[in-house]
Amino acid sequence: MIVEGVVIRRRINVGSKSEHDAALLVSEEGTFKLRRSGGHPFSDPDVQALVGLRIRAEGFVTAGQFIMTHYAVVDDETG
Amino acid sequence: MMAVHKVVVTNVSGLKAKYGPEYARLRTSLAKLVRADLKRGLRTRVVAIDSPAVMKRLGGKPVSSVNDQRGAKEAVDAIYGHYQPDYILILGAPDIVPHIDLANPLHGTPDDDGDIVVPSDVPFACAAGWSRQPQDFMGPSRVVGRLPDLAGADEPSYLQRLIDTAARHRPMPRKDYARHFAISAKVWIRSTAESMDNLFGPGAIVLTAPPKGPRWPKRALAPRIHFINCHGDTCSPKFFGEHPTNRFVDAHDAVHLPTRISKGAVVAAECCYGAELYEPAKAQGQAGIANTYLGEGAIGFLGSTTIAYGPSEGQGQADLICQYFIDAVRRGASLGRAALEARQRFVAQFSHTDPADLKTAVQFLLLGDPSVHPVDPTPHAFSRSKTVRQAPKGLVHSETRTFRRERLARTGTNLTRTLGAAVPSKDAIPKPVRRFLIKAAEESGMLDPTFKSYRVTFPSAQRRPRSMNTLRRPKRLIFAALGSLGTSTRGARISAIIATVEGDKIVHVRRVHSR
Repeated sequence: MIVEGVVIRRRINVGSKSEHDAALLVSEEGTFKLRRSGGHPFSDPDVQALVGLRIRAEGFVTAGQFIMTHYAVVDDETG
Repeated sequence: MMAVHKVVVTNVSGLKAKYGPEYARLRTSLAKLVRADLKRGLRTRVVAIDSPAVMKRLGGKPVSSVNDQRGAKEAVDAIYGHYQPDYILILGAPDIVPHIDLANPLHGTPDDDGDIVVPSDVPFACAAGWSRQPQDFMGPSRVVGRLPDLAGADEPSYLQRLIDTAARHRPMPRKDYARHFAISAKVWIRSTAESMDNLFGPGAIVLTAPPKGPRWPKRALAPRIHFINCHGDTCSPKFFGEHPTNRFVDAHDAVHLPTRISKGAVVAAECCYGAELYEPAKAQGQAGIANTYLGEGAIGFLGSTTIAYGPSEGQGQADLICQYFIDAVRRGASLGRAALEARQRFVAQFSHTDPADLKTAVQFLLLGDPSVHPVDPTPHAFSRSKTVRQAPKGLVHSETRTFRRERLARTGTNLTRTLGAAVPSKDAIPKPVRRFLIKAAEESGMLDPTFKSYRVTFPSAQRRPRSMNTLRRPKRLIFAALGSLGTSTRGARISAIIATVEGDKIVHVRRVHSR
């Protein structure tokens, strides 16, 4: 599936064994923890670099996470 | 009818659709397992829950598809009612026999647990009927395990290997399970060290990541007990260490396990998603750690399907259920009985389960043949006496397994009739309680807490014993403050403050240290 949205940073799964600061993709389809296929699920610098940007990503959703196989930063239409 | 001790539950049309003519290889392996079981004194039946004829004979209905969760639960209930077996072995990954997706009691706030459901095998272990509510499955009484194949596979050699391993296994002396391989995220070392001290005695070695891992040498992995307290994530073939806070490193990697696991190894993994049976294609072709351990000759794996919980110091949730499992295995229990006793022991300690306890009780599952005994139980000295050994044939016939099953059924029934559970509610937080939680959150260094309400429900008066009806039982509510973490004056990281309220009084308060 293809999803477009803004990447934010937030601490998730608080109190659990996987509590961590994560990049989240906020889209019309929902808010998902964002991962890159083959990337480190907890600290992927490529994903962290997307925080604050709008992206269009292709991938799949599983257990509330969007694991992307391809992505591109979308230019800000307001210039 | 001859007693049937073990039932293998599977979906034959699902296996045929997945493997085509290669399914015949699985039939051969299953026949070997049935013969091996017979030599071990177990009569085993393979039951196809998709067969209308078979299920009709057993007083049930066939499942409508491999995704039919309700059908699978009701089919297992019918099978259990007919045979009352000592062991139920579910054969196949969830794309053959599904987990039951239970509601996640921790789901619901922006900063909260992201699992929408908790895939579970615990409903198969319970006499309670169909439901998606975890609190309905707090009284497990059946011995259940699952031998998974690889989700999405198109040839059966992996599952064949697992069945053959179970068929070949012989119990080993306790000394063969005396050593352990324990790894911990460094930030959780105190909790893991306490678990290992409880199991193996003071000073038991725990390796931490960082600095160790993920390429563990063969001699480090050689012990037959593996205990893992690390981070995990969905669709990931790795577990992760952490130190300092928010710096994550690889601790354990499925890719480094082949040829390094001792035959008969038993694993308990506290990690989030530690026993998730994901499709390898979702992780660039690499199967998960649980699947890989079993494929490399491990005989049993206890782990979680979802996000798991436990304190960074002290003991709770995942620490306890994993510890109880390993303890029972080392005392000579079958894998399935060890998993059942661990669940019962975990929930029996509570008057009512809070949401994290409730999730823990249903999210851990056993991967492995439940009838396998890793450790040879030491028989009572009298059973080896001359009088017993030379008694006329048939006069002395041990029924100790039957006695144990009676005890497990009684314990499960008692839990079903007495244990309360916290379920999400819309109850407003009383102002004094809210003020208390906010003040406690501030003192603990919690930033921007959010609040969640739960109502404690107990079994109905008809179900519970009369002695419990005489207990004072006012309305009991639980309010939790959850939030981002700061640092308290003691340096401890805090994630949730949970207050139990009866009337206008806070009757119990608990501060949960985050991972």
